[in-house]
Order: sequence, then C-alpha cells, then structure tokens
Amino acid sequence: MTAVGDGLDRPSNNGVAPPQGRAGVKLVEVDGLTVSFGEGSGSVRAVEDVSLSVYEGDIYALVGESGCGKSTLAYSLLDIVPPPGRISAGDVRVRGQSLKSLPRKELRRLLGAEIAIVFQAAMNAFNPVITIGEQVEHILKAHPEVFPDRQEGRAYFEHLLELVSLPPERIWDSFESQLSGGMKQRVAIAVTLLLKPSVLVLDEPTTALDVLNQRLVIDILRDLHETLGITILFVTHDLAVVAELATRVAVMYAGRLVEAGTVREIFKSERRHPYVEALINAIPSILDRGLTVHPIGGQVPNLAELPVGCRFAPRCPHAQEICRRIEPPLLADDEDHLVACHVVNHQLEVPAR
Amino acid sequence: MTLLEVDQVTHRYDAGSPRPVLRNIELSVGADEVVALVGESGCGKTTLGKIVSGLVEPSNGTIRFEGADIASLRGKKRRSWRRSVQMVHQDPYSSLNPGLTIGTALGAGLLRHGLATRRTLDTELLAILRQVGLDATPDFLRRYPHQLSGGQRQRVAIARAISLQPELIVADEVTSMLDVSMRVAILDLLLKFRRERQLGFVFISHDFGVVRYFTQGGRILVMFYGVVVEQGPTEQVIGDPRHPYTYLLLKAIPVPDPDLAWERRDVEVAERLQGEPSLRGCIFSNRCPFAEERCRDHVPPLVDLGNGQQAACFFPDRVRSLDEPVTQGGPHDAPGVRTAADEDGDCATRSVRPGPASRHVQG
Amino acid sequence: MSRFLKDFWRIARSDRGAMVGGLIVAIYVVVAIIGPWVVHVSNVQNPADAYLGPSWHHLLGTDSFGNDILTQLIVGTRPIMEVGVFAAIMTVFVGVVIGLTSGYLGGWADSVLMRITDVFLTIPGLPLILVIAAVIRTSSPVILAAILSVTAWSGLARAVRSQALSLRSSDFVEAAQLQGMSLTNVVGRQLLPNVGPYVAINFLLAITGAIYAEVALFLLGIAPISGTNWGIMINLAVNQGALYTSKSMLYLFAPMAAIVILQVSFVFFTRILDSLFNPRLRVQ
Repeated sequence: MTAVGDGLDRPSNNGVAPPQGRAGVKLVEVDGLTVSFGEGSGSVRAVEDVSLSVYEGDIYALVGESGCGKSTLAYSLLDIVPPPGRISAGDVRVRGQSLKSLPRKELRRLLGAEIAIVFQAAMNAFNPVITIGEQVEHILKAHPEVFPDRQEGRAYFEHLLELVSLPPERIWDSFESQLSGGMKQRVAIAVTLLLKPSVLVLDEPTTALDVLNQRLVIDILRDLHETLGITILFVTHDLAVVAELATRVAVMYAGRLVEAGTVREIFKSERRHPYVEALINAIPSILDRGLTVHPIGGQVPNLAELPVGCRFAPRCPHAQEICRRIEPPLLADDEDHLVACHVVNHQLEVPAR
Repeated sequence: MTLLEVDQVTHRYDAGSPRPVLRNIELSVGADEVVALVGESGCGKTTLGKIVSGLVEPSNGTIRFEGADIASLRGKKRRSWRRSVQMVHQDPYSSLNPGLTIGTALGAGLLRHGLATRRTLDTELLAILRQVGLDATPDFLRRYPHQLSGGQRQRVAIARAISLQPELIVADEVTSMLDVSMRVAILDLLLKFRRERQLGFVFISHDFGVVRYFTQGGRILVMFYGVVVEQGPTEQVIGDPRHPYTYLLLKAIPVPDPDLAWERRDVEVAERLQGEPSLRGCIFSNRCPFAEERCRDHVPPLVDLGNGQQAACFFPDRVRSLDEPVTQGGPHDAPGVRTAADEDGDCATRSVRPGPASRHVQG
Repeated sequence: MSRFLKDFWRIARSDRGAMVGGLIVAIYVVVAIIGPWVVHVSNVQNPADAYLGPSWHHLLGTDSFGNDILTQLIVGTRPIMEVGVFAAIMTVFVGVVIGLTSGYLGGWADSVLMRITDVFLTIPGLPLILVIAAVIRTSSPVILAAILSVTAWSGLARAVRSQALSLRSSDFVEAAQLQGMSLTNVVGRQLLPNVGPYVAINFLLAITGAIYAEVALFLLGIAPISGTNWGIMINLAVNQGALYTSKSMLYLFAPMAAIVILQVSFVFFTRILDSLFNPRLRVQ
C-alpha cells in the first residue's frame, strides 16, 4: 500500500470516511491532498494524502519539525507551492470552491479575498527604500475594491496597528530599518489584515523572535481573533506556542498527518500518537515536568527512502509487527480526535518497557 | 580553582553611544561549573560570550583565565589559552565553512596545535566523530556542510570545539535553531562531555527551559540591556525570582501546557516588558511596576538574598510568587498610565484595545 | 580528484554552450603547446604566391609574402596564450591577496592598501601599458605579462575586498580564530574558497583582457615584432596594405577570427565555473 507513483487512485485517508461532527462554516477544506516534487520514480511527496478542515473561528496549528511538509501544506492552501512542487492528488476547497476547478483569474480573486499569508521572517519582506506608509498606499491602490476611499483604508490600517500594539503615527512615516524585528513582524501582520481576509495563515510566526516578541505575537493573534473574528492557521514547530494559542492542532510527520484534534486532546489525551507524546516529552521547560525530558532516538526518514508501514515505526517505542507492514489510517473517536496509529487505535498489547 | 573571571567589564560598540552594551559585569566560573546567561535579544549575553572567548576585546575591564589577563598573553601561553577556551555558535548553517569538507574543518585545529600529525589525523578525526555520535567513516569526512542536517552540523561544530581539549566552552544559543526533538540530544551530548572532561560552561540562551535542563545545579545570570539584574542557583531563580524583570520574563514564556497557559494568561506582562531601558538609575525603572523615586535616581547594586541568590533591586521582596498576577502592589501598575519619567521608547505601548462595543464583524 | 572530475563532467554535460566553449579552449591550448613542434613558419618569401585564396595546400590562403596563413596562426597561438595566462595569474594573485587581506584585516592596513589600489584603479590601463611597453622593449613573455597586469589587479582587489568584508564576520571565520588559525590560513583556507567562483571567472576574463591588450601592443608596433603571433600578423597585414585590397581579406581576418573565437569560448566556459567552484552547487 505504500509504493505508489503519482496520481494516487486509492481513496483519501486510506478508505476511511472523514468524520462528521464539527459545526459552523467550513472555510478551508483539504481533501486527500498530495504535493509532489519531481517526476516518476524519483518523485518525492512532501505532503501525502492529508485531509483536514478549518472552520470559521478556529485557531488552527499545523505542527511538525523541519521537512514534515507543514509549510508546503500551508502554501498549497493559497496555491503558491513553489515549483517543481505541484499538487498531484486531492484538492483544496475554499468556502466550498475547489482550487482545481476554478479558472486562473477566479482563483486569484477568491484567494485574494479570503486567505492572506504572513511568511516566515516576514520582517524581511519590506522594501527598504520607501516608508511603510508608502507601501501600504501601494497595496490600497492595487485593491480599490476593498477600500475605494484611500483615506478610509489608511484609517483602518492605523486601527490595525493599534490592535498589534504599535503607535500608528510613528509607523506610517518610518522606514523598515528604523523598526526592530519584532515590530516589523507585527507590521507585517497588520498589512496582511488590511484587505480583510477571512483566514490568516502564518508560517512560523514566532520562530526567530525572542521571548518578549513571541509573547507579543501570541497575545496579538489572540486579540485579533477575538476582535476581528478572524480565523487563523499557523505553522510552527514550537509546541509551547501551540499550547498558548491554538484551539485545534494537526501534527504532521514525514509528509503525513498523524494526529488532529483540540489543543487539549493533543496535550492531555491518553489516546495520543507516540510521536506527539515523544515530542512533548522532549521539550525542556520551566514546568515541573520540564526537567525529565527524553530525546527522540533516530532521525526523520528521508522522504525519498520511506520505510514500509508506519513512518514513525523505526523510532517508536511501541512499534509492533503490523506497524512495520501497514501504514496506519487516521481514525477518529467520538470527539473527532484523529490518530493514525495501530497501537493506539486498536489498543494492541504493548510489551512492558 | 577559578577558571574564568570577568572583572568589571563594560563595553560600548562605539565610544560615543550613551548606553553601553555591557555595564560593570562581574562573573566567575570555576572548573566544571556551569553558568548560564539568560535574557532577551539585545541584553548583551552574546557580546559577553564573545568577550569571554577572546573574540572581542572589551572597552573596559579585564578577563582573566586561570588567573592571567588574557589581553596580555603572548606566544606559547596565548596558544595554550586559545586551545582552552572554545565556543559553539548558534547557527549550524553558518558556523561551518561551506567551501571546506568536514574533514578539513575538523582537522585544521588539530594540526595547528600539534594534537595530530598528517599521518594520525584521520584516525583522530574518526574517533572524534564517534564521540559526537556521527558516522565515523572516511566518506563522512569528505562531505560538505550543505549535505548535512542541522543537527549533524551542530554535532560537527561541537566536535570541532572539543577536539582541542578545552577547559571552558561558551555555548551560544546552541539549540535555538534546531528542531525541537534534536535539542535534548545536543544538550545531552554537551552534558556528557561536561561529565567526562570536567568542562566549565558559559551557557547562553533565551530559553529558560533549556537553561534549566542544562545547568542542573549550576548558576544563572539574568541580564537586561547589559546589566546583570539577578543571579543565583538556577532552580532558585526560576522558582523564586526576586527581580521584577526576572519575574515578568518567566511569566511571559509560553509553556507547553494549554491549561497552565490559560491560568498564567496576563495581558499586562508583554506591555511591561517593552520599551527602552532607563538611562538614569535602575535600568528597569521605566517599566517596573514597583518603581519609585529612589529607583530613578540610584542604580541598585546586586544585594545578597541568601542561598547564593542576588538581585539588583531595592525592593526584592515585592516580587510575588509566580502564582499571583503581576499587576498588584505597585503604585505605577495601572495600564496606560503615563508618568513623567516615562521615556518615549521605540515602542510606546498604548493599550488602546477596542472594547466589546467596537467589535468588528467580518463582512 | 576523481570526484571533482565526475562532478565536472556532470556539470559540463548540463550546459552545452559551456561545454563547446571549453572544448574550443582546450583545442587552442593543445595547439599552443604542440603547434610549433608540428608546423614551421618558413622565412622564405614567394611574392608570386601572395594572397592566394584558400586551397588544399593553403587552407586559409597565403599572406603578402606567400606564406601559409594557417601555419602562422598555429605557431602564433603559443606566444599569445602564454602571455595571457601569465598576466592573468599575476593579476589574480595580486588582486586576490591584496583584496582578501585588506578586507579581512580592516583598520589602517586596509586603508593603506586601498589607497594604493585606488591609485592603480584610476590610472588609465591601456595608455599606461602602451607607455611602459614603449619604454621597456622586451620580448620576454613574463615581463610583458607583468606590464599587462600593472593596473588590471586593482579592480579585482576592490571587488574581492568587499566580499572579504562581508565574510569576515561569519561564524566560521570566528571559529577559525577560536582555533588559533594564522592569518595565512584564514585568508587562504577560510576566505578564498568562498570567493572561488568569482576568482575563477575573473581569471578567465583576465586572460581575455590580457590578450586584447597584448594584441593591441603588437598591432600598434610597440611590442617588438619578432617571431609570429596574431598581433604581429595583423600588424604586418595592415602595413602590407591589406586594407586596400579585397584579396587580402583572409590575411587580415584570420588572426582576428582566431582571437574572437578564443575569447568567446572563454566567456562561454565561464558559465559553469560557478557550479564548479561552489561546493554547494557542485556536490550533491
């Protein structure tokens, strides 16, 4: 079931129907998505058969370590996967509209209105030779449909600056070199919100920031969620930020989704994927249990040479025979908590450690 | 025996700047002792690390290694010191020369200090690779840095540092650019060498959790814009901070537990920590919830609080324990209140947060 | 070494233009080395055979003295390339050493070296070369090469210096300092590989520049007219009135074509130098 070429024709999620149960407006739906790089037998799937849904009002965290495919997945929501990557199977639907089926222009319009992204190290995305205000003016000018009256646009931007805890009159006339990294990150968030997207995607918003700025970004995102009612999807490897900010979490490992659920389920549930458990136990922190940490042995598998069966099995302390032969499907419990693990889902007997 | 002494070091990037990067730093590290430097970016901990390792000469003050002023060392004594103090950098992607193979990068120092000859070099290198948990094969030595993962590169950087058999290692944010699951492995590696070789460490980090794990009984220095505001045994400082800055910083740290995160939530914390440090008096007086006149006029010295803990504050007992919210007890703790001494920092915090009445609804 | 060759082959195959360029350059080099042993230029003048068109006997025809043009081209390759390569070696060596050392050391050493460099940078190169060559009449290729590189190194020094400036604060340079490496090691082992592609490209371009300057010297009659090389051929062609008759076209253009083809081939070949000298691009 594992050695497949491009254009998968097996059903999504290994044949298991996606769970029902969550209510509200489904803003973004990822359905059996596979993103491949390369051709033919040499192709590598950075994202393989991932399905998840982001509902209005979620603060959704996409978690994993480098190379797990989380950033690629986030980019595919906006159809900006850098070539030679491409969506080779599955689909992304934004407000019910499939990205595959829309003509280019419609696609751009839909994505531009609904989803906006703040890239990693967005602080580096500013033009150094013009002021922040001038850059915002350019954006307003390019999108007259959002703010036909540019004064109104500026006023809204200044309001957003206040929401991200920055003094508006100072920022408008500043050059990017006059602002600190943390400030620029916040300005980037304000700029992204200017065109009133429904979903704000952030790629590693707190990485490369120190404690203070991390705290600011977390607080600001929470505030924006409460005040503007915006839905947030953020990509990160930092579980502490996830615990502080997220309402729902999806964990990826080597291109696959291994667990998805509420933030409390991810951290506290007994029914957890061994990788997630190991990851949480590998974080030194100031909490009481922060001293008894254990590294995860082994290494993340090379996407071009994946093991047969469960991708985490070589490093998993609970691995059984079946784990080394069949990839575990994502199965849900009553609360929509999805876990892809044979041992957890079938309560296989675990040998005493 | 004291391995390292930092004696009244003050450092300015250029002679004219009003605020020094480091101000009157005093520090001593014994053999087999771990001292951690903690603080936000800009607090001077990295600069202090570079001064301690001899890469930068301080504007004022002395660094003494095994009793000798390192600025005055020459010839053989200097070479010996150079071997004894090593550093591991933060960024594994820039600390290895991209144009050199791993073998060349590791071997250069060994040859230079006569720890290996051309003939014994390969064997030595393989032994070192084995010690840091990398493939001890000639093929690995021929690889270039870009062919290795971040974790592997950091191991090579550590191998390079310990290959000269140093006595003191300065570890500058060695885990912050690594994946979460890699961090403990690297810390364990360093701890292994610490045990086996009785190494002293100056451990620089902004992550209290990592510091706590690594120091394990060592000391921690909390720095704020070039000033040591608190120091003491790690568990002591983290469990019972006595300087308001330490307290706020600990409160601001995100913790990997959603329930605890919810309990600790306090919107004032981030605001309190923003803004320029004061040029007069206590460096934290601009943002301190307990600041009084005395704090703005006089620089508080580090006072002994017992148990080896010291805090540079006139009112170390005002700091509550971590269980209580920070906005109680001081006269200047109301949000948004401007006092005469408030400087307009690069980030004046106007907490103009729209209330429920002005809630925007997505159209 | 074998790994380098394997990588080289793989890179060359991916860029046809560069491969063709490299091949042509290689042919020139072979001709330069063995040419004079294989063919000889005769000093016998046969006015009756002057300006013959191309034929099997004379593939490129004859010159005004009735001597075969192709033979002269072949024999004339070595002097030109010799001087070009020597000049490039000197230019690059001086430029890189001064540039890297100056950029790395900073301070007064940097100021002094850069002031000197600036002087050489602003002196017009070709006129100076002409003057010096006119005064020091030499047929030694080494001295001629030295004259040609008298100002050429300065531009390279400036460019390499700015690269050294940005490299010197790198962590890996700090690491080398921590290991107690000497200045020569830092400049030669740490910094140099990082400017490798740039230096390699400039080396080839320096050869082309030197060849142009050299040919100019011969063309203008400033360098001594002895022996055979392309510059001399052009000089003789012009002096023998080749500009006034169309029969002598080949005599005039053959050496020019030889020069141009070589230069263009060099430039094409530089396209893969970046991949070749940058380990990140070369080794996969």
